[in-house]
Amino acid sequence: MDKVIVVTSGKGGVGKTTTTANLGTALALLGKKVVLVDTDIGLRNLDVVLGLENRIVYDLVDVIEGTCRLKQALVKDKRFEGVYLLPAAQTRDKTAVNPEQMIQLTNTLREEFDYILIDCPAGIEHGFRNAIAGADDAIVVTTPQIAAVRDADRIIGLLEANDVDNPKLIINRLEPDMVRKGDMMTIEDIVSILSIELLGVVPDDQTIVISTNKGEPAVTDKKSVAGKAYNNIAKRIIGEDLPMMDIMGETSWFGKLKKMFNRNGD
Amino acid sequence: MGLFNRRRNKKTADIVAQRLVSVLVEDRTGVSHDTMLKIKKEISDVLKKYMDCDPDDMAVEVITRPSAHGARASALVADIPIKRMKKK
Repeated sequence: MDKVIVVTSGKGGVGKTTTTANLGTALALLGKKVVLVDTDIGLRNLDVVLGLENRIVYDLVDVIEGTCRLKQALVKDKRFEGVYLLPAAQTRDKTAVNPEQMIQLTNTLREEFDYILIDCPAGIEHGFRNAIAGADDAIVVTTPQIAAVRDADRIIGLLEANDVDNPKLIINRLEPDMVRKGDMMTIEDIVSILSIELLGVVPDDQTIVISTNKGEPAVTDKKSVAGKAYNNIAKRIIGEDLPMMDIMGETSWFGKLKKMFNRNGD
Repeated sequence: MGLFNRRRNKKTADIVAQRLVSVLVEDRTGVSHDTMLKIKKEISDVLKKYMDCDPDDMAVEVITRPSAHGARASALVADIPIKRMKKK
């Protein structure tokens, strides 16, 4: 994928910020220099998910208004080489920034970083316009719920209308047991309904709650299945051709049994 | 709901997928469910001049597929079984 990637969803609460934080850290662990830009002005959260909330001096609006230099506002994550945060302003609102200013800002960041991940606010208004303004590519995050997929569809339409073409899909918080019982849409259902390319599937995983409690991205936790999924997605972003993780087969004894017989039949 | 009649109940995943598809048609095209029914009826009226077909067997729906240049595009797809063509 290209340099400037917006992480968006339409609906709130599907995991945009968690996805941004984990993909950013995972890309850095792959040796890339990454800046994570929080564009949710007035409702910033990327700082707390990353565990960098106590290190903020200046923010995005300060940079755009010229109150400080860009370098002064970037928070360097001391735990992971190559992770930087440009926090959103908390006491302002979305209209403090316009799309032209965002294009300028991302162009400056392009010179310094391998990847610029933009955490988009929920909704389709001003904040969304700002977030996508400077983006080359988009990642659309959804969960397997009707409301989230519907909003994702709307966002895909808006991205294409704004020339952010070929957005990629992440299905977040898939519950394999519910899918198996027929009580949750399958990966295939969602991909075929939205008809965009699938970048990855992240299973529902309690370790995300625990790692967020600690302010540590799950990608550093070897036992976290979601963390592993995010690491795989990061590899796909840098161009590795990685097969999809076998989420559906991993926990089902029936799936394992079926696989065993298939192997014997080969 | 017992073990034995479970199979007869429709899976909620299928129900939700169907509801989603139908709501997205309206979201994507701005064409309401009622308008779709009207389109279907009028297509069948036109076709009746040329062939026998049962409106209940007709499937007229909006699908989404990638266009030539990659972006998604909507298309109206009609599947209409022909019972018999009328002689001119």
